[in-house]
Amino acid sequence: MILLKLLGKLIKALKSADSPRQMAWGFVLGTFLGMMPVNSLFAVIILLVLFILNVNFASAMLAFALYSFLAIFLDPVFHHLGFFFLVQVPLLKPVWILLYNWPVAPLMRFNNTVVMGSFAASVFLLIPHYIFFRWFVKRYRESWNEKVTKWKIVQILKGSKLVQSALKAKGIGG
Amino acid sequence: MRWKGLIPVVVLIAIFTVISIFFIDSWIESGMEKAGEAIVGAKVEIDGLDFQISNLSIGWRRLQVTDPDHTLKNLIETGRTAFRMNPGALLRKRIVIEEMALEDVRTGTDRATDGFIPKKVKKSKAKSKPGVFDKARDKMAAEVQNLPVMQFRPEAWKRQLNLDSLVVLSELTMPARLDSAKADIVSTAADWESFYQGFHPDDDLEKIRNDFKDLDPKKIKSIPELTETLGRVQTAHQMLKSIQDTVKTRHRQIDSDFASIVQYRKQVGVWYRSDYQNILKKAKLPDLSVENIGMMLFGKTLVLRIERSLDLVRKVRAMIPKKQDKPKKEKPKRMKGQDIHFPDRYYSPVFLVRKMLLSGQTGSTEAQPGLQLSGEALNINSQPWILGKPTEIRLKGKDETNRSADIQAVLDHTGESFHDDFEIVLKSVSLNNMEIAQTAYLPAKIERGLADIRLTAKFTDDDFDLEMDVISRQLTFDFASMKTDNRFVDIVRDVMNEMKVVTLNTRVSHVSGDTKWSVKSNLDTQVSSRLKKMGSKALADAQEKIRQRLNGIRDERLNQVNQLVDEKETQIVGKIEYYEEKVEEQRLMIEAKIEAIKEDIESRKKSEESKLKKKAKGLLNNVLD
Repeated sequence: MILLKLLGKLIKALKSADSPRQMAWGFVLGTFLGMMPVNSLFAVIILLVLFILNVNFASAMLAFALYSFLAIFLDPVFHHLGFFFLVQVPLLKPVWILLYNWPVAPLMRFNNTVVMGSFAASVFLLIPHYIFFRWFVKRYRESWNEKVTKWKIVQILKGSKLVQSALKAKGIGG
Repeated sequence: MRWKGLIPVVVLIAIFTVISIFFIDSWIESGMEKAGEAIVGAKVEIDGLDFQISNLSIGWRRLQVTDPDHTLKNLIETGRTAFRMNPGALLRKRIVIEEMALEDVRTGTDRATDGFIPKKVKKSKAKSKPGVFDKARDKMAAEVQNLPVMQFRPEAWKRQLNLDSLVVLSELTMPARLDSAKADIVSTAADWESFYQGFHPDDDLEKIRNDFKDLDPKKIKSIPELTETLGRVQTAHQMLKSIQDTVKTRHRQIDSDFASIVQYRKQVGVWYRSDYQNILKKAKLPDLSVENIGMMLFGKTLVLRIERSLDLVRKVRAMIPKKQDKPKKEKPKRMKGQDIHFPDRYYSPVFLVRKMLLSGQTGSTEAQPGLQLSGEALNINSQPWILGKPTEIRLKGKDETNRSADIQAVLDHTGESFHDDFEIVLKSVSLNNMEIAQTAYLPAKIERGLADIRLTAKFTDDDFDLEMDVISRQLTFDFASMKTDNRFVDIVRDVMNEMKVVTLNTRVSHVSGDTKWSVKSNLDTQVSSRLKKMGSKALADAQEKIRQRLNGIRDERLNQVNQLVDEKETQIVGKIEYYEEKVEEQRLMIEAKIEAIKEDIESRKKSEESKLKKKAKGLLNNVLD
């Protein structure tokens, strides 16, 4: 049901009036939210930014769902990456010491290897994610929308009662 | 920007705040209980926890920590407690409590319910190596175990001893060890005999002797012939040197082999004494020369008490993490990560209680409150190297009956190495109805008594030095409850009744892997001299018989082994010495020949020179004339 809702939201978002830029930024923020552990102040700040900034919420939720799932498998990579930045780069050490001694900053749990690793990975992927998702939305709206609508799977999904009712409730379907 | 987006955030925060107001106390209570249970391994209960977010204060009515070894008792129980957390530190994710008061602390109180928690079955891991404390405990326990058994029944000694069956029963080790030494000798001798079978320097020596024995440089006509002979003699000399080196090396090896074989001569006394003690045990005869009475009577109790103290220190140490200059990469649980800690400019550890005021009592019930103690604990923290100050605990108490306690501890984990010092002084401690470890010589309970106890302990990393002095007065045991015909028990009872003060000093030290334990008591000399006085002729005769039998076994085996060693040593060493002598003889002969040839060559050269000079002079004169 959640997946169907998400799919419905995505279809709605792809057809919505939100610009590809808004959708791409939403996706990028959702990536941050999905990759990083939720029990840190970082997650709260990103959620706050997501609520305040005029970005697409549905694409953010899509990225959140996708990367929350991937993060389960990427956890060891984040740990190694985080350890590298926190311990093995002497240039960064003064920055971490400064942050470690600032009020509030330690509540972000930046000194945790997984938090730092997932944050670093999200930052590395920021531009590629933004460019890719903006291109994807544009391309979808220009040429894929009609083709995708004709796909059998989409037809079946649209035809099923469950999806119908779900989409109806969201004002997307028939 | 969409400011409307703030509405759901505000709503979320409001919901969270409302829920928190209602549930935060139970969340914190359950969190603290679970954390405590994870450390202790038994139920931890906090009653009436109250958290005030306005001033960040926490308090509770009662805290009970179950004793994991006796789950119907509490390890610690406290009364009302309250403290405040430093808000500035909390913003930096540190829990800093400037001062907290822990009142009405008691130990060993009864629990209303069983505090047992079923342990999670852990995956089987390789058994961890025993630590230094385990090694020390094992060594002490082994010493107590190996003490002679004091069965003192003169009537039984008078009966004839069946030495044959005693020897069989005692499974003597000395004969077996001597047999093993004998086997070693035979095997070593066989190795050397096999070496001699392949070692034949006689032929070479004989050939050299024959070749050069009759060599006379005077009989050689020309200098070139002499030079050629010198070359041959020098080659023979080289060969001799090589044989001599081999012989010397083998001689050294033979000496070393026999030196190691004859080690049994030094050990035989130890084996003898061990077998003698073993037979005494089996024959149930006491060794009257024994002096370590304190260890016999109180050894087991001391081992248990010292083990408990060491266990406590081990638990405390396990809770304090070790300083690391550079964080080591760990393999954390999934999605948990590893927290890396950096230098703190405020010298503030993650958890710190700067001052804890303590008050409590040693008794576990209202009826028996025990001694009232009060004091303070300073600098309880999770990262001492950041704080740079040791944790200090000071507790004192005294009552109108002159009972007093003074407990001091300094746990210094601020550097790379740990230094933990403890000093406990207890005066006029009641020993009434105190249980002690069961032995065959004392009842398991002290009836009455008072004691002054002083315990000092210093721990530096893996080394430690622990000393305890006990001075007990008016000590009485319920000997009537012991039904035994062992006269040793009677002696101990009589000595204790006569002595007004019984002292006991024990010291355990573990330095560089070596554990030493000693127990001294004023009972040692008293009981021992009484034993000697009471030692009857029957006992002396019985012991003499055992000694004679053991001497016979020893002498027979030892003579055999000694004879074999002498025989083989003479044979093997004699042979190598013979070769050494032969080679030396040949070497001297060859070196003399070399000298003679060299001298002859020199003298012939000189004679040729003078002839040439004369000839040249004659020719010159003819030319001039």
